[in-house]
Amino acid sequence: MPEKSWIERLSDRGDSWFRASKLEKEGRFEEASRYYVEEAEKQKGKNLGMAAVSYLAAAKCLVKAGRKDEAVKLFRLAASHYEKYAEEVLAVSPNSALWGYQMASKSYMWAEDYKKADELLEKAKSLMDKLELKPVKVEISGDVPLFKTYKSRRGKEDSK
Amino acid sequence: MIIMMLTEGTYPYVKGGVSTWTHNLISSLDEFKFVVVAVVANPYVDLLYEPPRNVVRLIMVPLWGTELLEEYVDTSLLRLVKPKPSRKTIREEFLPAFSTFLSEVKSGGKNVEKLGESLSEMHHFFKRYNYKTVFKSEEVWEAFSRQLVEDPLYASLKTSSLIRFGRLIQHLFRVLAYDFPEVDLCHSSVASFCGIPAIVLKMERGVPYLLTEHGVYFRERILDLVKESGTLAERFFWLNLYRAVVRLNYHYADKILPVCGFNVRWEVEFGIAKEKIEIIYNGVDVERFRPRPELEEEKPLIVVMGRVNKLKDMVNVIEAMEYVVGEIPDARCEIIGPIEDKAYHEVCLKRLGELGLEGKVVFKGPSESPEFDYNRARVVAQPSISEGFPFTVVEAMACGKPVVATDVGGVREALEGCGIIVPARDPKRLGEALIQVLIDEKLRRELGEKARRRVVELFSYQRFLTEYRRVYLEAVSKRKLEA
Repeated sequence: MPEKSWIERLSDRGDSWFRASKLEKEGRFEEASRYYVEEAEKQKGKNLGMAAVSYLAAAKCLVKAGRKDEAVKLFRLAASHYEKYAEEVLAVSPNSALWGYQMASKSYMWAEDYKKADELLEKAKSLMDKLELKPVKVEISGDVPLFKTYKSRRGKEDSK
Repeated sequence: MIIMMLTEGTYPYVKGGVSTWTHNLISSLDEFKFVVVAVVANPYVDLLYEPPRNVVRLIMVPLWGTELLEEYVDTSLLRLVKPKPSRKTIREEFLPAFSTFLSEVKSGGKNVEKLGESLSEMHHFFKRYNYKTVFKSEEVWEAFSRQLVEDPLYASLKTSSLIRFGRLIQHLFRVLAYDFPEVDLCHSSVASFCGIPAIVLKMERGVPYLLTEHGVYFRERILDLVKESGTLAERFFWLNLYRAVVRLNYHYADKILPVCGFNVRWEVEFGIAKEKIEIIYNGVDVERFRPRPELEEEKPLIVVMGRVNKLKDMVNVIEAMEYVVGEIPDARCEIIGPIEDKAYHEVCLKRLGELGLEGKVVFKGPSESPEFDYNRARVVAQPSISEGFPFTVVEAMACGKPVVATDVGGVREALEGCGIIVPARDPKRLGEALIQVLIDEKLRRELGEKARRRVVELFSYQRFLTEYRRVYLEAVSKRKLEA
């Protein structure tokens, strides 16, 4: 049997991320979201960071498809995977853990779990202090957040 | 997730530190798929690294040695018959972008976005038309020569230089003729011509671009130019061309990942905000590279690990050996690594003969088991005039060996109190430091132990991989959120 070309290898059903990206580019967001979730499920046992990104991409696709309520569930899954990822890499690479906590905080925020978002943001800040890093601005894509502006319960504006 | 890894003169066709870095990164991050775009001098090169299974495509971009460029562009037969554009098409559709490109190159890329746009437009043009025909056209030659001759800075250039530069530009930018595949992320291992596909993809499709800087490309080109003969105008031309290409890479990269703090000074000098820069040190396998005291040779042996080329300055260690042998007659030095520059190797052999050091300094060629070679040594020397964050120094440290190295690139950061630093191009100081370490057993032991501890703590392979995995995910997450 002739060896598959590189594009065939990527397009075959095994590569969910590739399929999802392709569908997303074509504007078929609901299908894309399904494949991103498939990729996340495959990755979650071995690569928490990759699983988190895949859930996030899936959630974003659902938002684009106008299914915000369902997206919340996926944002929550993304958040918990970013958090687990941060815990996993903390001892080896604190910088990576910091990013994980920040992403977890953002994702919890989009999942409308502001308490968890706040908690994770505090973890990130505390780690930042230990690493003697300057505070990193929490940025949300576009001019407006996906759902609504999040304000920390301590009264500080943590996002714009 | 597909990552386009861009290399120039290294992986997978040339052995060396950057190639090893690339190979290790790709093979270890096997959850990602890679398309490797390798810019090489000519197509007649052998694969020296077997691409791992997660390399889904290897695209070779030969700058010279092929008349028919299209045969490397794509496997599709249609690609072989790219039409020749008419003179009118060249004048109307190509020359405006080419003139902007030249004007920016001449000024060292002062308006980097204009330069980027002109490259993107040229890439679009070459997707439709035959690259070679365009560059061989009278219109392009006229535009090129006029732009240079009319500029007071370059007015003194001879016609022969103009012809040479025109030809070189045609070759150096060949990567523009390629059609780049759809990827999630681009990662270049040098701020050079191979970064152009990443820049174009970033501009056209918003693909994130990460740039790792090993040695500082611009600094190394300056070092090359110092040694080259040529008029002032010629040197200015080259300097500005390199400056423009480096600026482009720095500007369009989402993140610059130098291998050491030394590089940051150069990057900041180019106006790059520090927030965009993150140092990721090279990591070594601390199990493979571990102390094996039983292997140390009885007679004092100095090991130098590195490719034989001008930047590694092997003449420095040869001349230093004159001092060492004067004090310690049974000392020997082994230079282990491939001969990359044959002419320079001849220079080394000549100097060796002049100093009567035959048998005392030996070129051993490349090694398959450097971990054993370091361990055979009493001290490891690194005589270079330019380095990034050298694997050789960190590997020797991991083996618990004292290191005597020149103060270049990230060497000081790597050693920091665990070895002896000497100025570059100073054989006397290098020789004296080697003697000091060779005769002082207590010092050797102390330096070796500290070095091993430092590597385990800071430069482990696990940390290196975790940080690259994260910057990949970070860039893709950001893109997904912005989409």
